[in-house]
Amino acid sequence: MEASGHSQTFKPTSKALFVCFVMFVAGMVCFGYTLSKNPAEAWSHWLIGAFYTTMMALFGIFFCAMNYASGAGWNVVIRRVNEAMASNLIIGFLAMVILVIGLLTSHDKGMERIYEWLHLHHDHGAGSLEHAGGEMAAAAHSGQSALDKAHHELLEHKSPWLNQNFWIIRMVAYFAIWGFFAWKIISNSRKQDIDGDVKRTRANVRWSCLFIVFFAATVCLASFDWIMSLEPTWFSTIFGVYHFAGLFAGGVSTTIVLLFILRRMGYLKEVNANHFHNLGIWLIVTTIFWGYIWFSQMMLIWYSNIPEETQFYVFRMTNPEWDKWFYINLGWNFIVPFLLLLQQPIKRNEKALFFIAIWVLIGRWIDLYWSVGPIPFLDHATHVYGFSKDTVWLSVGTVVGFAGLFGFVFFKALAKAPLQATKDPYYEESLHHHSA
Amino acid sequence: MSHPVYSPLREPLVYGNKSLGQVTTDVCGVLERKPSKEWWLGFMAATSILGLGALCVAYQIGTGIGTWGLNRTVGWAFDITNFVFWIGIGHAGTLISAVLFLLRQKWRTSINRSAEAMTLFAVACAGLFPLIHMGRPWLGYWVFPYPNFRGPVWPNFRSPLLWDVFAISTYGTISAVFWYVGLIPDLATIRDRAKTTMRKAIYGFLAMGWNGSAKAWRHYEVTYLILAGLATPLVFSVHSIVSMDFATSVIPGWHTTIFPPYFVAGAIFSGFAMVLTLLLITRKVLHYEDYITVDHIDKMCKVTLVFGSLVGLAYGTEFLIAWYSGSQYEGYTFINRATGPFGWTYWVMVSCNVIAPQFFWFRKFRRHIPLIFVLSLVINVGMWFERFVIILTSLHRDYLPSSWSLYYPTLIEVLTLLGSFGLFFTLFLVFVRVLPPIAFGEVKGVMSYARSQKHSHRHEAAKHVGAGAHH
Repeated sequence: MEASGHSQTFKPTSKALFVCFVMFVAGMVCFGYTLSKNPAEAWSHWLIGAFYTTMMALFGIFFCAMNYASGAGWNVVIRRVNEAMASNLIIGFLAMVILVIGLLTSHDKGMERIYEWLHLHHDHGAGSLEHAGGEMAAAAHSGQSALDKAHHELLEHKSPWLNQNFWIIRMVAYFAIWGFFAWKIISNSRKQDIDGDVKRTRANVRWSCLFIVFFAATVCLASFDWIMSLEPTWFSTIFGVYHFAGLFAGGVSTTIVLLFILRRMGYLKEVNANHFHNLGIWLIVTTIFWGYIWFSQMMLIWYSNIPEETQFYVFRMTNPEWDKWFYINLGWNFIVPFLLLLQQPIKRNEKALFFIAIWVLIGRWIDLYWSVGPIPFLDHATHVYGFSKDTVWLSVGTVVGFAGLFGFVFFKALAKAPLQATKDPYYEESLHHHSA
Repeated sequence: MSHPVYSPLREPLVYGNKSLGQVTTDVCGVLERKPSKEWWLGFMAATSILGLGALCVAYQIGTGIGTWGLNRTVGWAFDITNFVFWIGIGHAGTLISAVLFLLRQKWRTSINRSAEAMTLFAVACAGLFPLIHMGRPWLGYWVFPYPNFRGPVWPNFRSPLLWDVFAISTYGTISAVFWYVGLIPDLATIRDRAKTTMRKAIYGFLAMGWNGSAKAWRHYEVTYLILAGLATPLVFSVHSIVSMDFATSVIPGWHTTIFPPYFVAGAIFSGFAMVLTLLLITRKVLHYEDYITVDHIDKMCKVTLVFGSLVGLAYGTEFLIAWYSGSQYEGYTFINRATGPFGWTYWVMVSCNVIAPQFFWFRKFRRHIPLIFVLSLVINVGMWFERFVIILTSLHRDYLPSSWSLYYPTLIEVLTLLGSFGLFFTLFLVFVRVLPPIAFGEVKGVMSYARSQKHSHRHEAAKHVGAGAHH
């Protein structure tokens, strides 16, 4: 059987774009409402959305690159979906830029708890009492000011890495690197639609290998910079791997969800149970991997019981508002998808896989919410949790807004190229892919 | 669409347009001939080294482990380094046999048998070192928790060393069963080809009555898949738990959360280097170039590059976070690691593990057999040093400067390590004589891979290259 020379092109329906738009507006309403109530809380929700969007976009290009580099052929029929996901890198970038502007222009006291070290330069040399959480520190007794002093010294120690300018430069650099490779790989893939030159595949293998090197380093550093540094006295070397695992599990789920929606719209008929089976395998592999990394970090910190490290968990496991999330996170992101995905029929069933993928995507929010959510209410020097409660549904709402924007950009990007890379040398193999 | 479609970019996995019968003859023939002169030379060298090692072990057990270079500050050094080194070597075998099987990587078929055998021998070597360290190895069974008459003396369940006992014995058992199940159809073929009654009886016993019926194959395939599923988590758990021997402590340089995946990556890296070392010799000596092809070597080099670079990323992360943590002890440990009295071991480690594999970025070098052989040895050395660096440099500068000390291994320790290599190579050499080093039953299943009319000229070219290497 010969490949059909031409391929369908996607046209987003106004209904789909409208749904995305409504989600986006709803999300921005949630964000705006939170902003008027408690800016720090609002920006922590924004950060979750921005990070989530960035990671899912990054998965799009990473998954293409990984399959090019490893010589996989099965994914060619779904590759355009991953390519279009990567377009959301621009949304991730804009969202991070807006976050930076929001952080640097706000005069709200509580805002100093988000990237506490970012505000260090304001009171440089003015003594230790005025740093983040000023009100609380001002009322401090001598025991606490000693703690504050030590805390301040630690932030000073880290300032060559954790300072406003270098942090922003790194952020721009990460996006520039990701964007450059995404552009290179995707444009090669699209040029191949026209000339069918096998050299484009070979070039993309090279670009992909190079990208993966930068990807590994930048994903680790970005998760240190954007999430770990929220609690600047805490550190964990496995943290980057943890977020890579989340990126992978979430990205596979996003791919499954988008495939399901596109097929309901009548596109991508080439995709069959064998392709879903492979995605299902990736989903269980990454679910187990996430569980493994979760356990490695948690167990080693719990076992060694060193205060600098346990601060992250002690609070999250003992605070009556947050402790439940610790267990929900593990159960939701590991136990449930693991048990379900053990079944081969589920991995080959598009609809079942779609529901599990939605489940995992909610799980990604839980994981990030559990990490980022408490930050606006936490005094980083004393680890006292203070004066207000986070509103869960506002965080959910904000993330839904980002999801809407993601979908909107995705649909627009997908329409820009044929849905199938019919001249890819692995296209035929992918069409006739047999799993199991 | 029942027959698979392959991209024109795919290469066949076996060179030389072999017939199925030829595959059997090529692999089994080696076992049916008398051993070659090279084999005898290798075997005698390996057993001599093993004998020397055995003498050393006898001496140190007779005298006590005071024959080692340890002191109060450095209470753990050479012995545990060897243990972790050998356990790590084993990982490639399970990765190739189980993980690549689950990921449907068909190229594994030519190399999985010897890689699995290597795993078992490496685990055997690893097991020796804790046993020797006990000083009274005849009481080694005390590590197992069982109701006993020694009073309320139980192993400490909170100790990762006990977790090692469970993890490694499980790993060894599953690996052995997996390897053996995979051997059964091949053993039956050897039985059927046997010329002597004795040979027929032995291989017939080992083949467990295999009759090659469709029903038998069906059972075999299901069993194999289940065992692969069971073995896969073990690839990760064993070295994760080995890493916890260090990471559950509060010693700077040992306690860091990245240890479990970092150790697993290092283990796979070192294991692949050892697979390369062994298979480059095996394919040459036994003339298996059409089965263990340059494409196989190329792929293994790629895997080695990936895991070497991951290990490099972990080194970098550890260093960055040691500074970032603001803990003066963490910071000092890493500065000392790179610049202290044992700084040279650190730089040996970085050069061998991070820099050396970077050659494999280039296709030319991934197909340059002598270079790959040298690099595989370099990586083996580097990965031994990695464990030595982690263990020694984290210990030798204690919190109290008055307790600072150095450590140098004694001749006994060095010869014991050498002896373990003797054991490893002896076992491997016996293996290639008595069992088929290539899973020819499985190779037959991938003979049609990517073969078509279009490819025939390429086969010829490949055959030419393969044949060239014989002479």
